[in-house]
Amino acid sequence: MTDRIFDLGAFEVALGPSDPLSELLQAIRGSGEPHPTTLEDVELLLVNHFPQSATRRHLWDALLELHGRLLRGGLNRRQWLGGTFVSPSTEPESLVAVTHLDHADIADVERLPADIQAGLLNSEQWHSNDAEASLIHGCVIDLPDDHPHASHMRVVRGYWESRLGLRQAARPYQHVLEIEVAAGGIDGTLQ
Amino acid sequence: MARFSSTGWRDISPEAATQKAARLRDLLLQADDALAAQRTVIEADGARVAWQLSLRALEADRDQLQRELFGLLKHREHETVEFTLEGHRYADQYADLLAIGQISSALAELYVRIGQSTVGRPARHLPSALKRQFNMAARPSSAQSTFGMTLLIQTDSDLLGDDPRRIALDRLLRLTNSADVSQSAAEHGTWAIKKYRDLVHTLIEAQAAPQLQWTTPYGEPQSWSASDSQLFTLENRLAQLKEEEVSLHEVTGFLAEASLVRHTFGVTSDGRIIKGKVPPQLADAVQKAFGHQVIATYEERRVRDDLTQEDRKSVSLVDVRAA
Repeated sequence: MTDRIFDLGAFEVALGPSDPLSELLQAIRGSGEPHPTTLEDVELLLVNHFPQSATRRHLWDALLELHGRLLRGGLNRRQWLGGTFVSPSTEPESLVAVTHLDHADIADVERLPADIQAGLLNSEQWHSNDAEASLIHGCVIDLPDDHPHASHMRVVRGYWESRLGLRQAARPYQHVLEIEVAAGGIDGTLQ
Repeated sequence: MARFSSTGWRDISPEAATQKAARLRDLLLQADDALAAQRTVIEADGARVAWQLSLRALEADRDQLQRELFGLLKHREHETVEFTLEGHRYADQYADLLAIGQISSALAELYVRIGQSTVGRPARHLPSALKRQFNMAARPSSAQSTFGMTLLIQTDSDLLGDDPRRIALDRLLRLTNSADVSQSAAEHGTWAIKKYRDLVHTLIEAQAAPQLQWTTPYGEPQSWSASDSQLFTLENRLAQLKEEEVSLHEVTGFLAEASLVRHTFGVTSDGRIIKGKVPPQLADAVQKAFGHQVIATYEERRVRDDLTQEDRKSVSLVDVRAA
């Protein structure tokens, strides 16, 4: 698999400056920070906008499945979306979804029923060798500065920021969105 | 000898491949650090579900990145090293035939010895298969004012990981650039250091100042050059490394560190941690055992440094299995 490098300018010219997808990509281009948006807009602009794409639908379905599992655990949290899914590629190869948990979630998740915990921990299904596109689920646990494990978890957070290309020298194909985990999409379907 | 591409890459854009390989390698190094941090938390606080969720995400992503990197390296068909000799006997692309024969032979033998320590335990006996595996090909180079040649090391695109020949080349360049030769001697063994000393001595005798230049698949230039005086100093320094002691040990513990990019491992046992190198053929076993209780067999190699009066130590994994 290779990440493609896009000439975003040429893409926008082809798409037209008033196209909503073009506007979204323009807004998040080179900012180095996650761009807040909604799950509905993600579906509208990055899934429905590409009816001919096979991998976008696959990645979207996987994301909704992930959201379903998080919601069953009561984890309607912030999530970063990145990878080639957040680009003009017709057939993106990756969607990186990084869920943010906080200090209280550590104890809350521990009390969940075993089957819901197992659903959260089953990461293998997002990383099939055979799939043409993979959902990569990352997890950041934000802790108060005085927490004994805060420094270690900052290393983990730093990794996922690098993975998405956040707070790094501008990379032409690194665009990151920020959404809330929700029962989702335009029709509100919970998978 | 088959015709090679000038870039080392096959069926792929060299610029894009180099850029992506560097990015994947950097991420994998960061993933190793993040995994170590998460494991430290779990060791202190127990395997709580939230920590496990974070750990599994990191592990799965590291595996994904490794697959991508190794898939990309399948397109890297060879490594190219520019080797030039400077000095009044090597001007205008002419050279003393006997001298270049001896220098070439010494360099090739050093590379094979580094290869031997890369894939297994350094030993006096050098199997023929190892000599064939770590063979270099040569062709005239385009250096204008000195004598030079281009060395080609063909790599295997069918391997499920980094190629031992590329790892050995990297280690050879690191050895020649090392400011800590006694530690290098412990890592590569005295047989490799003897060949290094032979090469340096041959260069001095031949009045040749060498230069090696290689660009890694990650786009990093690596080089070695040495003047007459530097070669004399190096030869004297290498002569002070003596008395190798090799011992085999077994430990039962937790495989807390495993980096397929750095080729290193770490086993914690009874409050201590044993760290060392992983040979390429054990990379798969180490990856599978990562985060579990294991029985690890490792070799400890000590070299006496007459200059500092210190023993230098290195550890190499020989075997790892589930406890």
